[in-house]
Amino acid sequence: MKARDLALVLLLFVVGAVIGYFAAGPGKVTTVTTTVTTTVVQTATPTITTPTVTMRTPADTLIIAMDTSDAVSLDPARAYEFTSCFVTNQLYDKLVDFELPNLIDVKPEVAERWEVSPDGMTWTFYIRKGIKFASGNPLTADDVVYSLQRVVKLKQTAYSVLEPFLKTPDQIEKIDDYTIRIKLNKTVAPSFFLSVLTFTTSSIVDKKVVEAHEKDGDMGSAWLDDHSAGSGPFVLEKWDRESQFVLRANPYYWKPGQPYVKTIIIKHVAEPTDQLLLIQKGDADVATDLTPDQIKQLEGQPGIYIVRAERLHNVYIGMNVAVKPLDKEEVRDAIRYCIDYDGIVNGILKGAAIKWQTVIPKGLLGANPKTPYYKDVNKAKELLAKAGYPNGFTIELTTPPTYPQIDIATKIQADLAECGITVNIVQMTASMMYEKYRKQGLQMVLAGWGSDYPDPDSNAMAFANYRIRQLAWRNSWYDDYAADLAEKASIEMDTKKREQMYLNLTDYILDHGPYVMLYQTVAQQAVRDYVKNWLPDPTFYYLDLSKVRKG
Amino acid sequence: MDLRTYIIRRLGLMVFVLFGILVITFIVSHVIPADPIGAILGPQASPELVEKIRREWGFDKPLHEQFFDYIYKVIRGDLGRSIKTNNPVMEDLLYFFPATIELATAAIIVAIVIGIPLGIISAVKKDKWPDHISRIFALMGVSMPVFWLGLLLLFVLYYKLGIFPGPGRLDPGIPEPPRITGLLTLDSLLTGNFEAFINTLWHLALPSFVLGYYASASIARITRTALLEVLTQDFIKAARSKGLAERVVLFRHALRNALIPTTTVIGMAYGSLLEGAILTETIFAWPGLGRYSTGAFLSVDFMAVMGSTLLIALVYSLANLIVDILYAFLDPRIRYA
Amino acid sequence: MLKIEEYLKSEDFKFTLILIKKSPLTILGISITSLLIMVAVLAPIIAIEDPTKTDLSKRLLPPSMEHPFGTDQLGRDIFSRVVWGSRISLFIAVVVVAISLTIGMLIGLISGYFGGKIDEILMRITDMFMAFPRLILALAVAAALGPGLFNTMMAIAFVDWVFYARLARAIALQIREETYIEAARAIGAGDMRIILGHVLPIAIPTLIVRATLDMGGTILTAAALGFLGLGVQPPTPEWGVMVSEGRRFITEQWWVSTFPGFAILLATMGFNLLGDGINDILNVRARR
Repeated sequence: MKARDLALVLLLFVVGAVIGYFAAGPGKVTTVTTTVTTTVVQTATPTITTPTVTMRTPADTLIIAMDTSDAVSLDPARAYEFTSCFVTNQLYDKLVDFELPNLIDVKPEVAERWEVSPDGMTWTFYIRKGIKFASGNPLTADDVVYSLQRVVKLKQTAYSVLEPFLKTPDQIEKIDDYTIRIKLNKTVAPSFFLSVLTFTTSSIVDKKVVEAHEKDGDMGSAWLDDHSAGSGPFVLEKWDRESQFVLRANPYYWKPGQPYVKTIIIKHVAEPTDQLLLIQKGDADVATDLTPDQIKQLEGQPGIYIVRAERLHNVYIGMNVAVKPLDKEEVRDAIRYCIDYDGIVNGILKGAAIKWQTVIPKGLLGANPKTPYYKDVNKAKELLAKAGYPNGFTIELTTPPTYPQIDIATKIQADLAECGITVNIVQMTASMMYEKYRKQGLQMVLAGWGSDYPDPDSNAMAFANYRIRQLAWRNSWYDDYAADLAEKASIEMDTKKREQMYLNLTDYILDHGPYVMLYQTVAQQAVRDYVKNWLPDPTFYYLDLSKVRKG
Repeated sequence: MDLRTYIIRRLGLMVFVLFGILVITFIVSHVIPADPIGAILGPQASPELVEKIRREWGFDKPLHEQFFDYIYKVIRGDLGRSIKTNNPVMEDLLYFFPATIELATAAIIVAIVIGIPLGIISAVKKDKWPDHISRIFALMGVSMPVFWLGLLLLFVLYYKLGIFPGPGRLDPGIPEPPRITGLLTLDSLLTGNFEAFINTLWHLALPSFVLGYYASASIARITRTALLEVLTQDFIKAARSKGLAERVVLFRHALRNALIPTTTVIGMAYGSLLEGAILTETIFAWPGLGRYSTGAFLSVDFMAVMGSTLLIALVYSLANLIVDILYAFLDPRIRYA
Repeated sequence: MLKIEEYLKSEDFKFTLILIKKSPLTILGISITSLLIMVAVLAPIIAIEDPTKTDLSKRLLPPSMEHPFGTDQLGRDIFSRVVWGSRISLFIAVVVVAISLTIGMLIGLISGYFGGKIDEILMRITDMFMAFPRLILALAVAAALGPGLFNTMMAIAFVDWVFYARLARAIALQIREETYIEAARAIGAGDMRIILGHVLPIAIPTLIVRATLDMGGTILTAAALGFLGLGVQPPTPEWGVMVSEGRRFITEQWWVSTFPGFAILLATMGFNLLGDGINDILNVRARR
């Protein structure tokens, strides 16, 4: 390589860069002037600026910066993770759905009305006429029956939501082109069943299109992983894994005028700091995964407002009852009295959490607001002495290698040290942690639990009932009273009675259970002020982006 | 032995080495007490469902059976399926690899552009101030944590000064060129999409600098050493005594010889850039092999782990092989070793 | 003792000193490295506070008289953590390099000296490890053994030894044909004795150069592992993990990442300068 050639290459590079800078510098700026006249529902702390809106992103495109690495599949029969459900919700309609912020009364969607038999086991749904899929095909009972049967036949993770009462595909039958009947195999509280139907599993897919892409009997699953065949407001144009989702407005969408934005781009941005830079610069309209400190930084900053939602997600410490000395209730109590809850919620999480000490999250039926535990080192030491451990003991605390978990674990380590308990922190990635946890192989674990749908059953069964081999079992807590109570509450038809049963159950777990409930997560999302109708969502799959507009 | 025999021998060795790597990776990833299926299905999944999926994937079979199944498939070009993406690993790799190649190539160009001149200055002005400054500059490249530098540059040059674009390969508003090679630069040129081409180059600037800075240090160092060696040799003295200008002596005679070892270092550096890519890709939201393989490793996605390791090791070995062949071609003594 | 005294008075040593004085960069390297060692040894005295003491009321404070490097997200004094961190980083660097040096050197020397089949086998194994991307292999081992200081060190040592093996082998190959080696064999000296007594001393200088250069690299690899969540466990203050932790705060509280990052930079540069300096000196001496 001659030096002369080198110099030439360098010169070319420099010249090219200079041309490029003037030809198309970083980012484009579009100025949109509008007068804001629409009545807009903002349930956040708004710092709304003047009507002249400068946007660096195109006015008809919504750009969301999100960590989408958890997404596995967009097939409604498989979609189960945050990202997957968030995206799937925009592509499909369901029989019924919740409309934010109301999470108590379902609204008709694909079904315009329904009837239930007195024993709560037979449901009849009457399907709305005039809905078309993105392909142009009309939505009929065939599609509904196919979609629900598909979930039962494929038996993927998402099926677990329907499994307790839909065991075989023939429980779903077509009565005529616009009527279907579902026969459950046990009595279930009506509100419970309806809320289960709002989960993305019960999405209605376009039978003709899906069957056309079937391969080796997979009922089109491989194709639906990264394509859409729905009647929802958006169509999936493409999914570049680890890069972005591109959604386009459904030309046949049955709700007139919607969606307001024509394109949604969900950019995969794994680093919170990158998301922060993008939204501050205006190259993203929404940033969903900022840290509490970064949110604090953005508060009050012109051009951005924060949308907060109490999520149906709780973070707890699981104590394995089979590991001494965690088998003694006094020891578990001592640990509960040795933790600085306020410090964690206000110091580390700052607005991203609320103190919550019972196993059913705030916002659901049966939520129990009692917070009897607080940091009292003397009381904790007394309890330890009573249990026979006046000098404390050593124990392992397993945590995922992410933030804020590591900080919380470190704080707990410091707190418990004051009571004489030595904590060794062990970081473990999800696959390894899950493996051990499933086999009851952990000592103490810092983990979270998100409710699948807005009904207390999911949490109650998991935390109380060892028989279903969930959290109670993984922490070796074989308590029949709690298990029985959870099972009874699940089938109780009277709402008031049901509520009381859950209150009793959560009280019981407060005193005897193997958990230290630390806090309930509050999602904080940063949104640019020209984005309207981005509503707080306690779950991750109810936010309807068809109502969002820019400018 | 002649060159052809040498090459054949080395290729054979390479296959053997790759096989050994597969064995090691297989053992390591299956010995780890991890349950990737459980983790992917999530804590809510019932134990029965997890078992069912495990059986579908064949993970309940004895280890040696699984291994031979895998080798048999690999020979036929099937690298298995990723548990997470449910795509064939080969497809995933072909999808993510070009982005990393693009980044690594841009980085090596940066490394050469920075490294060689630095090395030359250092050698020519040995022990004077330009030498010291270049050496310190090069040293900093080798001593700085890549992710720290990346974030710092993003913060200053993107956010504060707005000179360079943010993380990602392309601005969201610009239409992406159709996927021919997967290298955005090539694809946009091939389809005449000049706007995308320029934009891609801008997006490449920061990450390739961060990645290349590290490699530039080794290149600078080797250039310096090699040039110093050459400059003391007799034929240089002869050239000087002929009355040739120093610049001519330097560029036409000395540099040409000094660049032989440099070329080999460049080859090695290219392979090692694949590693550095792992960290750089996270900071700059670059959807490449580094990210894919890290994700695979952390979730112990067996097939993806083996596939990515195989690919990275292959590229690494090929780079070393080409370098060694070049060296053997230039210096026959090596072949007898 | 006598030998060391003799050496210090010899011409040889004086010449080495002159060479060192002529190279300001080497002096810089020696100073930085000595500073690092001093800080590590005197850590309990220099550090202001207990590096693990958390105080949430003092989160993320900027640098001040009380906290020269500010505080981190759990209210811990960063200056103290950086000071104590020098022990950890130095410890990791020295132990890892010592292990990989010893193993690599032994394997390389044996391989080069005996040649033949042993050489073939050992070198193919070395090839395998060399073709393995270092970070990926370290990742795999760290993932298999679990995170933690000891495991991290094992992981890095597991991949590092190959370079020493290659170097040692090259030297052994060169030396074994020398007449004095043949002479030693002729008088009946055993192979191991020859290797350890004659070949090793020749190999050591080159290997030491490589080792000092490696110390910096080891610190960086440990930091990379920490970045990916497989490094040292909290609350142990390790520089790399500290930089990684602080990256969430880089826009407003730059000090959390910057000071430990700077420490890594300084320490690595010190080792590299030292290594370069030794290399230069050895080269000049070899030419005499």
